[in-house]
Amino acid sequence: MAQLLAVSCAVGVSVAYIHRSLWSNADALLQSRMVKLLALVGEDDDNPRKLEFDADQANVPTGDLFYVEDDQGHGVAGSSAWLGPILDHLRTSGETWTWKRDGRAFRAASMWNAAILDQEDNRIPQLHATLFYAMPVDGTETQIERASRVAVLAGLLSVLFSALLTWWAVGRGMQPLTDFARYADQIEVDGAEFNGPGDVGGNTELVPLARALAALEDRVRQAFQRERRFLSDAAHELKTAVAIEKSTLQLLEQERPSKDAYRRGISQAIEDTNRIERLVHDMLLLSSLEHSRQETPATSSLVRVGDSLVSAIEQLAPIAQIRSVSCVFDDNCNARIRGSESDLTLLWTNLLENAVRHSEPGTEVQIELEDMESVCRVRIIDKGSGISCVDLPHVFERFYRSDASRSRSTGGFGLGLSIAKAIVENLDGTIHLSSVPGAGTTVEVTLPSLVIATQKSQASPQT
Amino acid sequence: MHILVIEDEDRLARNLATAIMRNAGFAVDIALNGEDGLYLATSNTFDCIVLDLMLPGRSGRDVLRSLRAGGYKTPVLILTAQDEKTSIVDLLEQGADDYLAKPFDLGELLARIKVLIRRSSGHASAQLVVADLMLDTNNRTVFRAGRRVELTPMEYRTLEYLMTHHGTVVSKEKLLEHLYDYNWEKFSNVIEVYISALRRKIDGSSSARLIHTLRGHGYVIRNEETP
Repeated sequence: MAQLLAVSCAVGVSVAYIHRSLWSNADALLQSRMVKLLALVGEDDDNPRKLEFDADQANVPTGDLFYVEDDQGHGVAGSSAWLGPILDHLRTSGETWTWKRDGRAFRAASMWNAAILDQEDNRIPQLHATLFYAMPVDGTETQIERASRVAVLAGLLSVLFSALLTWWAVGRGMQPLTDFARYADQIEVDGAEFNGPGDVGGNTELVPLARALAALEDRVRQAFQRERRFLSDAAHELKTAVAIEKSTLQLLEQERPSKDAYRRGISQAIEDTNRIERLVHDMLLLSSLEHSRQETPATSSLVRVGDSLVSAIEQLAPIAQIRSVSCVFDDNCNARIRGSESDLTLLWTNLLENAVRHSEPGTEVQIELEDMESVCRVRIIDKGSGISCVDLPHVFERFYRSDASRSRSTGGFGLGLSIAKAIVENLDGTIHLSSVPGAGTTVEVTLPSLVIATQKSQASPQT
Repeated sequence: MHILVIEDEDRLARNLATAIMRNAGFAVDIALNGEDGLYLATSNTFDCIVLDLMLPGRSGRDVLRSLRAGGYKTPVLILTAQDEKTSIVDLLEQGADDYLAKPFDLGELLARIKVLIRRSSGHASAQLVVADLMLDTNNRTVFRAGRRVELTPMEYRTLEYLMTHHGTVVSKEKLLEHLYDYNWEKFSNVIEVYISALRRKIDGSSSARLIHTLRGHGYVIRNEETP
């Protein structure tokens, strides 16, 4: 765009210059012809104070028109016919103008009150004449036209050339980006490592881009791998659960069982189906929890932690009763967090269930809630069988079951703690497990709590 | 035949054992983890081992490797919930003889076990034939000279084992190992009872005697008249 403007200006200026210089050339020629003509106007030998024109010596170029008159207005040479009506006007000043006659262009000038030098006794000139001269300027016009055309053509060519040059140069400059884009296009999420297109063409501006893209690809690949691992773990569990049910039913099919055997078999199959149902539910829950990490929580509200703990304890009451395990919780803290109430209750239920199931009958599970300025801490302490140090680093892994517990028969899939961890992380908290095999396990959860006005300052002073 | 099922899913293991016992008439023992499984496999004789891959403690792969490293040639059928072809190929190279992906058809499992046993004892067909005695392992039927012979499950089991290894002398101890699972008291007398019952039912009305006793060594089934 800028180039086009520049070139147009250049061409314009050139053309204007051509115009001016050629016209001034023409004018100079005109002037010289006028002077030449004027030189032939002299004092009349016979009649002093009268002007005469030496027509013999005149060598007026063909086509030129002229008219000379003395200061009285009498014609001395040439004819005034060509001047026409503008003669009066021109008598008072000297001008140069262009006009057309019969399709031909003329350039004319007038020399007003020119001094006549050719006088008898070379005294100070006293006689004056006015000279009008017209010269055909077709040639000049043609010249101007031609020259202008050349200038415009040159201008166009230069624009074209510079455009091509720019296009090529930009293309070259864009090459690294194009290569980059092509490379990025080829990224398969589960494919080879992305290493950027090696050198970014020495273009330092592209280095942060390359880095950012590599980091992005890495993140995407990791997320994809996580998904894949989850799916393969889940597939295994599901296949096993389905295999069990299938074998139960096929066994029934093979022989002709008694009515009792049928009934037993069917209730077994229903148990197996329930198991699959729970597994699918837990898996989907875990998956949605892990996905909601990226999204803003929609069901977030102000939750009183103590209330959610009480709710969880109530939910586990039947199981606790069957196992003769008691849950002890002193709800004396008003800590509040921002989060989903249902998620929070689920978190406690999972942890408490683990504690209750692992506890010996007759023992108790202690639940502690502490408010520590910007965080609140919940501790769930059981005196159960504990977790071996071999298993401890893996407890939060999906589908991980320590061999000792063999909790499959009790309905566990190894997802409880994974779900708990996902919930805690969604709430921007931390979860930590410590255990002494044979003595018990302590689960510690810290969650960022909201600083609220304490009871003391809420009470208004009595006046 | 004596089968070992190594599978940590209690319900599944029991279902498999029941199916094998009912359908094939084999004796079945169960191990719920790799360690127990390996112990049983190496301290008893089995005709086929059904091995689940995902086991707590010692993995299925580990059990297989130890078994083969210890020189045990028992045919092994792997049960796996994994999809990956690479691991299956790897297992077959490690010494597994066959595999089935979960969930599987019980019927298919039984058929494959029978094939493995048949192959490992050198038979090409599901029918065992000695002279005019024919035992069909698929239907569990026995024919002598074209006439159907009715046998009790244990009699059938004994005959099947002898015919599978026909021409080979089978000791009483071996018979005990292959005919009984862990839970049964192993009285060596009981073998004699079966053998005599078989003799009565199979050799009784026929001209040619097929079941022979070699004192101090064991029993063998063969056609003495063929040169």
